[in-house]
Amino acid sequence: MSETSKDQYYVPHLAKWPIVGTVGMTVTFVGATLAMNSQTSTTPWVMYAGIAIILTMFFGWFSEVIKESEDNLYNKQVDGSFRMGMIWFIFSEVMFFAAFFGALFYARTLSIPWLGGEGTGLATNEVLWNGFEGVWPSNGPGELNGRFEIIDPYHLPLVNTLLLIASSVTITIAHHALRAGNRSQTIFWLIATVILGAVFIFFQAEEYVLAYQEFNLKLSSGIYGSTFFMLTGFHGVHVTLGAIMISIITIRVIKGHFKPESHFGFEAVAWYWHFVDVVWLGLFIFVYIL
Amino acid sequence: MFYMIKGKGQSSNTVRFLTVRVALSVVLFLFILLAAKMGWIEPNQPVFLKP
Repeated sequence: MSETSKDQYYVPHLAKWPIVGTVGMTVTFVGATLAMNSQTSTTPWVMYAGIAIILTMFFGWFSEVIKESEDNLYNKQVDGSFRMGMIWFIFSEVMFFAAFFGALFYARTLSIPWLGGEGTGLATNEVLWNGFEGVWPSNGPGELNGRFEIIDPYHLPLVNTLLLIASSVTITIAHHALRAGNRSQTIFWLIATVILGAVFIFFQAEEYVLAYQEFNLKLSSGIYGSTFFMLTGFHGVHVTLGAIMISIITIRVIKGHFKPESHFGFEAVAWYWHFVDVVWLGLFIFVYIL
Repeated sequence: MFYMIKGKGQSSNTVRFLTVRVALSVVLFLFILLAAKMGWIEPNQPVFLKP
């Protein structure tokens, strides 16, 4: 039975979405495994079906949560659960990027100098990688995939940094406007944030085309190419996801959702966007400049 | 994160914290521009392409 009293923690009567999600993930992974191990061209469709089930789960589950929230079924305790969920989600994202930044720092400060003969790596350099210089950017022992140029940080990446910082400013203005109960201002600044995010993604795509076609900088360009594309690529995916999330929040604000004193859905997305911006600043400094 | 937990629906602390966060980012960005202009930091260039 559904519990509707605000004194008690709301528990839905029928929670079908976790099962749908489990089925979706299973089908996706089975499909991905088949696709990777089979020569037939039809197998990716199993994976696509799995992804479709997962997307249906997201859409259905989030729609239900939004409806329950608008029906005023959640009390302070439920709000606390949502906060906990979002905190652990962002923490997991921090650790995700920490792993890739860790790989970058490890390669730059430890493994490349070792291959170049530093510390106890003298024999390694002499015997295995003779002539390899421990420098950064490196195209690896044996000039993997040849020579490449790197992206000038003071062109597209600088513009992208400006765009993302500006988008954080606009989402913060929207946050203040929402708290002040000014709906039209909130909508205006949220749309501005989505546009800034979309332009960022466009420039990032431009940069990738430039890297591949003009600079011969590829995912396969040794440790530099790997770390560069893994970090900036996953960040780009996060900006895309964040922009979709802000678009949904904008639609919700237009529909009249959220109150000045209660708007955790908005706040969670704002937190996520700020996180994505901070990661970019780290990328701009440690991947592009230094 | 602290204000996100403690905010409990009243997000005045959260929004204040996020505003400070954005302001710090702007300052950091301006500092990077200044450092580049003054020559304190120099962007990477592959050794194999240096003249």
